[in-house]
Amino acid sequence: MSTEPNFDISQVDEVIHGRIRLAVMAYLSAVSPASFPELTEKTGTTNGNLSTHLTKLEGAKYVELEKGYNGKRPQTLVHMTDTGRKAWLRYLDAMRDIIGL
Amino acid sequence: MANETLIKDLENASRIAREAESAPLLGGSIGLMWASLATIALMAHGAVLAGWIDIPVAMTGLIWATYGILGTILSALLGRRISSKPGCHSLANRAAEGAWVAGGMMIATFAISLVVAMFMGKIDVVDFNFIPPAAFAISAVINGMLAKLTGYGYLKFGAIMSGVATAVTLIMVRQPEMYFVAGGLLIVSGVIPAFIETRRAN
Repeated sequence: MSTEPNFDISQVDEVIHGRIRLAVMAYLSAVSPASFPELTEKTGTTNGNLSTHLTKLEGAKYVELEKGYNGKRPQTLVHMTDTGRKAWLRYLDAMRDIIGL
Repeated sequence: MANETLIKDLENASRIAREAESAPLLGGSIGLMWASLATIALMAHGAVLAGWIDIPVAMTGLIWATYGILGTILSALLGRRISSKPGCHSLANRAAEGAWVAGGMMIATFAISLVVAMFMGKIDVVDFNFIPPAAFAISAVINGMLAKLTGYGYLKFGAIMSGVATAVTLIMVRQPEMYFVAGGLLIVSGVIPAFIETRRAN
């Protein structure tokens, strides 16, 4: 009987599978919505870089961006959607299979 | 991704998720403000009943109206500051906000219903003494729920002390001294835990 992990690369969600997007999804899995500055701080990336990754996640409907104000200051809040949460859980399952946990 | 990079990225994601999940409760300053104001109002009410402040007993309603208005305004101001802090939408913070807003509304509903009943001649002024035990009971439930959710000992302490305060104030419900006792118990069950929460968040 083989002890090799069940490695199936097609299980891996390419939208989530990147350092910044993975970090964004991990943070949003516990804190949603999160503000844009909060995400740049927690993921250790720049505004421009985060914007690019959020656009990709938004395109997959994994996150929703809500533009508004906090007092008089403009504020962007990032929400993890239900689709995003399901995709995140599937991604974690796939990783467990690949790593063999 | 190479295997090592993948594991490093997953570890990083796991650390971020764990940090986010353990974000401290941020409502301590609001809790401290409400508990401090309520302590002052309870002591002032007790002082009126004891005759130390020379105003008609019926005017104690003004003390509580001032407490409600001032507390609501300060809550809005403090809430705006909190809403820009990292972790303010963590599960525990959302649960705390929802529970305290609902709890505050229930205490207000209880008080307004008593005012209406009094104007309809169905209750005596002394029946307002049931508000502090009711508020302590609500506080015990909320603190207990949040203690279970976060595992914070100071919330467990707040829940137990609020439970004790509920019992003590109910036993003393017909005595005017109850207001002084309630004020003292609120310092232990509300002011101190809220102070600890504020310190942890900073």
